[in-house]
Amino acid sequence: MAIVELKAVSKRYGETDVLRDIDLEIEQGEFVALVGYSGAGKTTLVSLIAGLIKPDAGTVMFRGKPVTAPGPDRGVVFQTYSLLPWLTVTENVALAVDQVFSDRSAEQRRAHVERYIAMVNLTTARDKKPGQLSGGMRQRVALARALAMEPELLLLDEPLSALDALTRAKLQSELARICRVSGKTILLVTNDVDEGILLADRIVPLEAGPAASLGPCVAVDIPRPRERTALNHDERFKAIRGEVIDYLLSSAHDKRTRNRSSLVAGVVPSLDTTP
Amino acid sequence: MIAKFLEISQIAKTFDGVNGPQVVVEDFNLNVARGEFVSIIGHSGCGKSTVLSMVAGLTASSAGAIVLAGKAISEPGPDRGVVFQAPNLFPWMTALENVVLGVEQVQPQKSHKEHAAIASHYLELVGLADSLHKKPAALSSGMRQRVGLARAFALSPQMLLLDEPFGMLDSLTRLELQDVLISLWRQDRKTALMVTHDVDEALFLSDRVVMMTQGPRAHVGEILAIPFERPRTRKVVVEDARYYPLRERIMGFLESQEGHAVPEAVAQTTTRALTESNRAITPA
Repeated sequence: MAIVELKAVSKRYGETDVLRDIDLEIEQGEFVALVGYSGAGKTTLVSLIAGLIKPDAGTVMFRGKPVTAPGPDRGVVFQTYSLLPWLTVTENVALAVDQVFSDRSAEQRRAHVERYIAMVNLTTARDKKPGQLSGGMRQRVALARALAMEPELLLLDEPLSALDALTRAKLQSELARICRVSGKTILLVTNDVDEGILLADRIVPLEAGPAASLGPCVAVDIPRPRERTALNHDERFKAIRGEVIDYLLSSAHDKRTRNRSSLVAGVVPSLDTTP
Repeated sequence: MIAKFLEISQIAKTFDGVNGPQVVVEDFNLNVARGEFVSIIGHSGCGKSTVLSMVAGLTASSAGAIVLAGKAISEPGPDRGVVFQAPNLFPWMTALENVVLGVEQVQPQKSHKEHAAIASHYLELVGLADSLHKKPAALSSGMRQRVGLARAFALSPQMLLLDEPFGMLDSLTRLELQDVLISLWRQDRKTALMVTHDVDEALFLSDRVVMMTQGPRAHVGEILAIPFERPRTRKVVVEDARYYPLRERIMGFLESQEGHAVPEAVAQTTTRALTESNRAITPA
């Protein structure tokens, strides 16, 4: 059974259509990567599933029930870490755990917090405050906090995009490992096609905005663990990568050409015809 | 034909750190031929932008020499156009006015009409024909960087220096801007030196990719000649059987540089050996 189900969902802000006719199903235990341009509406889609905003048309269902509000059954990690700067790593994670598991004993909650801090390899930094941590470490705290709430669905909105390439590559490998051990249902939003292929079971491309719809899904049938450098001689990797990039680039190209010709009739830039 | 249009010989850069002087770059050697597109790739903080900044004349080198078209570089000049990560446009000017401003500076003898014609020509080439009169705030970050590219080419410098020009854009917009850059570059094959940490970007655009070791004392680790024919289109390049092996080689090099600095004595002999072998694959 699908844990998440979106049917004909549309969302507009003022005059601008952001999402149009979105149909998406995510199965229990599946890892789906939503790949698209910045500004295409990826965060809007996450916010709809998280219950932070409501659709203008269509339905968003979670576990067979319409989504009406945010809840601890759906954990969200945003690009900005949103940690409380005056609390330590442990205290930041404990804050969420104490809310969600208020029925457990203090001792149980403490052990629970420690387990998740260990999962993201931050045990040695558990008494530090966010200001003393690197961007990559802060993002791991945010991940530990989301995981520690033991949500049924984890929504990761560009969790690694603010990091430099090296830190991002390291965290991608770590994220792959954490996802394997946690066995959660995950929706990852990213603009990086390689990241999607490295981590997900299925890639869902979101075409360029405005009024973005989803493109054809691509199953990532590459065995795990997937190793970044070794993927370069994997034929499936090359094929999937080509397919997704082609689709996204041509969707953007088509949309711009259409918008432009409606603005200035007959004027199309001559970029492709230069000798 | 000048084989060494740009000559970087044994440059070094030392900054004063808290614990005494920090040698960021040392014994960095590179020759670039006229009309060649060379990329320097390395991890964040390895010193690759420092090298570019020294070529731009914005940072003084602590040792060594940089010679462009037979002239030693000591300060910035209009012979080198620099494209930074952010295009630094004046917010109160339109796209056209921003580019005209630069053109006026380098070609004061021309009329205002000619300035505007040059500026709008390049803005049209980067796909901004219907945004000439928009101000930066009305443009997306990708469009703003298109203005930055148009401006750099409109100034018609002898050489282009690109410092992670698409580093602030999402990875898909980055692909589009690479297409814009390669089609602009195709017109006059301006000698170009680009700093990037994006393996695909380096492979698609360059004639050679220079892989830098991890600092401190960073230097040229390995140079890879990129054999794809020009003009290039992404589809043809990516489907070339040599693409993914080259990609793997660069990623492998970068992975090998993670975290550990090479012991000094070893580093020096390797540099010398590699510099020799670099010469072998440098196009004459």
